[in-house]
Amino acid sequence: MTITETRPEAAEAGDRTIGGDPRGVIVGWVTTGDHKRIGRMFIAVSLAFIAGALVISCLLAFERASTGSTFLRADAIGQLFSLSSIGAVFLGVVPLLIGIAVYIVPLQVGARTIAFPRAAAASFWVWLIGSGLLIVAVDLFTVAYGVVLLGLLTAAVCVASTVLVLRVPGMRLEMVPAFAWAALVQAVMLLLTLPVLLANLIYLYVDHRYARSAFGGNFGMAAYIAWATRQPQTYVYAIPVLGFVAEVVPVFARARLAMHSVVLFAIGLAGILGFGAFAQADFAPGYSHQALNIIMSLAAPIPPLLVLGVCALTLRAHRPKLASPLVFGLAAAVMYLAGTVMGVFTFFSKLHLVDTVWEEAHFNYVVFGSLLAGLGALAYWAPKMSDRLLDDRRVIGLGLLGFVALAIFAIPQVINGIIHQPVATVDFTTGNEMLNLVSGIGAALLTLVVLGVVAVILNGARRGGDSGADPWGGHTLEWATTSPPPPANFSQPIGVVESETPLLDQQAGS
Amino acid sequence: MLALPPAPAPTRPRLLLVGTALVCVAGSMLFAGLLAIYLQARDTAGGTTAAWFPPGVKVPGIAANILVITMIGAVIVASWAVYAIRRGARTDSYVALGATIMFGLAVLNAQVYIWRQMKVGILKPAGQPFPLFFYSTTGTLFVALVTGVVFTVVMAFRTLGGRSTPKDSEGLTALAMYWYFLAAATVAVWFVVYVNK
Repeated sequence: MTITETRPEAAEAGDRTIGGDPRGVIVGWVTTGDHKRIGRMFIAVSLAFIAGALVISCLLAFERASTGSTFLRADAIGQLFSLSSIGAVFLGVVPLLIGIAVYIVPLQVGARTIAFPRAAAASFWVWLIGSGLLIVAVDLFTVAYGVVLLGLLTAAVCVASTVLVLRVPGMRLEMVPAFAWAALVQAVMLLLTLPVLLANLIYLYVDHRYARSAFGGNFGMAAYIAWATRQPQTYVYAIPVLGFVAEVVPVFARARLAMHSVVLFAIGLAGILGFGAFAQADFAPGYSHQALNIIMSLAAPIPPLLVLGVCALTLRAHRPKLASPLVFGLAAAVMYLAGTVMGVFTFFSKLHLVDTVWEEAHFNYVVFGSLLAGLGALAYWAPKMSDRLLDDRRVIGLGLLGFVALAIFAIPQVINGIIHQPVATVDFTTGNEMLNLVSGIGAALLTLVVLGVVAVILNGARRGGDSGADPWGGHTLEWATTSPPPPANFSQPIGVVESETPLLDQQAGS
Repeated sequence: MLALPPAPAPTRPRLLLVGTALVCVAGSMLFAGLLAIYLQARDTAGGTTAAWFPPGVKVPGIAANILVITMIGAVIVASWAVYAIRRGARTDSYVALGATIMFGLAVLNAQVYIWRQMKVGILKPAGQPFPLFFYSTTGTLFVALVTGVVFTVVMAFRTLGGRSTPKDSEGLTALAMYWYFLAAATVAVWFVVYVNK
């Protein structure tokens, strides 16, 4: 046994805090090696950061709507634009989806723990420290950003290793559930792209610390790392959207997914098309006209179209049950598709959409569309995480409101982009102020949706647990264990898995 | 309860090997990014002209070559450690791991020697971006090398404690893989920064 394998007794020790740890609650959480606790910590903190990023987006939209009077300091506006996009991605949506993956993926592949549990715990704390520094210490921006990336990269290694190595006997890679596959693809793409961002940050840090000559000092730095929050890189952050929608559609249609292998292919393709480390405008000014970049952007809508097509085939043949995860999942996939279609138009140079708020709308569709998927995943797996079904009617309402809020948030930016309102500034002569106000209201509504989902989860936690092991009639292995799962995830050996839907096979056989 | 056919006896997953491979992939992308940005910045500055490379500064070519040769030596002895433990030659594997640590420290020493010999500061002379890119790239490589030495020390203690055996050489194999990655990164940095400047 190598040091990397967690012994069952270690996993039990990690879980002992559920029933009360003699060392104390705080020590229990801080020293935990249990992937379920680590996942929950990622989820809780990232939701708080997402709400913060949305509030900043609100303030900036209202600032744009109030010409002549400003309520934000001029020197803070640039920093707030950077913080809203970086915060939404690396402090919010990506860690939210990674947190869900840290909790769910080991269960889905039948593993007793996540790979490298101590590294997974370290990844959370490193990410949290980096996030805190990023918010409070402006002078340490590049260092804090790098620390955040190191935390996320470590978590990505743990998630990818779990899917690659710790699968239950019989579960070949093509049998992996769609969400676990999407988590693997996203983790691999993060490992291929975020180190390049780290390389950018190393140069920026050394320049900022010593010379301030090569990268434009405080105000020029943002341009060199902007590729991480622009297309095609943003598509990497949205990969779990496809996995999640492909996960919930067959469950609520009470049927097998029409073409599982096509979904896996589409998710893999989404990863390849999201490789954005080469798209660095300030180092390679001509990249936007390169054939490879144009082809990648034109092909970006194919993966969501494929997945939505397979979901439509599955839903057409069976009358689905309306449930909140389905509403959130479909809303997220539609938003992701809308974002990729917008990305195609960016490359029609005669439209002059580059460097306009069109790009902000694209970002919002893709990144906050992923947020909707994250909230839907919380609703779907809440019974597994806490043994409590959420109030589904309320969550369905929040899902619909989230869809409308994101549309209200982004559509005014689409229109203002067409009339060439410049990106990431409040100084503009072209652009409609009223539309900026509407966009701000959309961001405020989306903030309320996040807070609403959190309130429903907390309310459910207060009421107590009664969901049972499998309240949705799930198809994959996480529903074969108790809610919440026991210390080593499964109380008995699972056996040999023979398809991608072992629980559905059992239902069909019984 | 899920009623599936009973599973065969579990085989030991090669977790550390896969995890190290993923880290090496991420590390390769880090150095690819560093060198790509380096080359782009050099191109923007007009190639290896005075606008890029400070006049009067000499790169200690011999020391840089010795650094690379020492690095290759580290890879060879790390591979020897794996070869030895798989054949049950524990003493040989101890010697090989000790040699790997020594070679790693020698590479670090060579890097520090080069920095001292270069006599070029990040701030002086002003105007040429080369020092900024030089120290950033070689400094990152230095950190990766330190990580490699620490990894080797940990695996050496584990081997001394009997945790590496002919049937379980995964840890040492992962270590050797990491040294292969370090060697590839060192050769790439050497070629771009010291040879092509």
